[in-house]
Amino acid sequence: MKKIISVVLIFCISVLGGFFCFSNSNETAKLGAGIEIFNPQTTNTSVDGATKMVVSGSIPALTLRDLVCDSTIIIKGKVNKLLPSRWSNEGYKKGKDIRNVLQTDIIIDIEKVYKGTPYDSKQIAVRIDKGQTDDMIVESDGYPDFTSGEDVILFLAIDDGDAANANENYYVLKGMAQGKFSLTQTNNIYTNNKEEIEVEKINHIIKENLELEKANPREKMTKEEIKKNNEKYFGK
Amino acid sequence: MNKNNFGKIAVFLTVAILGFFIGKEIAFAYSTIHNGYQSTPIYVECYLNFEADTKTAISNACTEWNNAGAGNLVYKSGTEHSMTIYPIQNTENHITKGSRGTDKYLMQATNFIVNGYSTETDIDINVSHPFGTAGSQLVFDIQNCMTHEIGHLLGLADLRNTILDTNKTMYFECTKGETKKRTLEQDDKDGILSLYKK
Repeated sequence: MKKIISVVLIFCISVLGGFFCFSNSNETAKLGAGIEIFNPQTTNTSVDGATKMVVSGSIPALTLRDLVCDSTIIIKGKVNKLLPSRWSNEGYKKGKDIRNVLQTDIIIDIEKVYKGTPYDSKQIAVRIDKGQTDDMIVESDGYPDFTSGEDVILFLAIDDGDAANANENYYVLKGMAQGKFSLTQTNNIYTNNKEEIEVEKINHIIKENLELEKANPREKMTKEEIKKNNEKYFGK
Repeated sequence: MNKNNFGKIAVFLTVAILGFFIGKEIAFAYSTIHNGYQSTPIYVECYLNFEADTKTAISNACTEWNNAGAGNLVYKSGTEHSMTIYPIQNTENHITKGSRGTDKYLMQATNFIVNGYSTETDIDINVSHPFGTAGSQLVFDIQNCMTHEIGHLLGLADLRNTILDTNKTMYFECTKGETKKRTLEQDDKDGILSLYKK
């Protein structure tokens, strides 16, 4: 009994110790007493002379069912390479007085297709809205990072935004960072930091969710209904 | 040292280290993307076609941060703009709207940073998603999302811990009908106090 009480006591003292060492009182934050109150990578104006834009936002929370049912294609593959970042405008240049979105295409070698038919059976591009040019860095934690050679399962969709380029073949991640599942330390288990998928079970997961959707569809608005709804709040 | 003592020390250290890190996780509850604005209050300008309910929601979102204890930091400006371009660096803090796509953000803040301090923040509302003001389960609540974005404007970063952070305004995901981000949690307030209460 004594031993159990001692262990619980040590544990409680340690939790309190950890809490007070790292709790963010004004004093400790001001003094920076061992506490990193900002990410130093994002506080510099420039790296190698480039201007920095930090993009942050809120994203719609998607369940595994949302990912499965709303993705155009679901694939397993390996990151081949990242292409140089470029602007969303004509000629891929940054324009004046127009909307400029810095984008990066990631080339994926397809190993397996679980849902849909990709525009190319061997290799596809996945476009994310962040990147770096000679004079600009755009950071966005809404999009995941990719590394050459990385094993991934991707939930992908057709770009239906105003910066979409209909003349090019590429996909976007369903639900931004939620659409990328990376291989964990455990073989054959992939995660998007929220859900985990075992490769052996993915076909079953997809089938199960699609059947569930067919039997009991999720309630959601059509694009036309969304447009009409939003006009009530944001005007035409 | 005999085996028994070694075992006791090992248990002691394991429990102590585990406890310390759990304590650290509980305490470490905000992060920032820049050092804030050097001069406050900040004025955000709405797109001129926004309806009255939307403007009220934006104004309420600002008020929530002004009540955090760090003074009056941000207001909805009386001036409105007709800008449809997002983002654009022009020294004004615009709130815009656009159909950015189903698989893009709900709302987004772009911070232009100079020497670690924000000089301008543009906020964009992605009208590819359904929004509303009454907390309906079919739409995303404007005030809920805007309170989160104003937090970005002021310098706070997204929180991503799916266990510890979900009730905080700066948690990065939103669900339809959610309104809990309208009200700041203590960690959100601590974050803003660390930036602005000097």
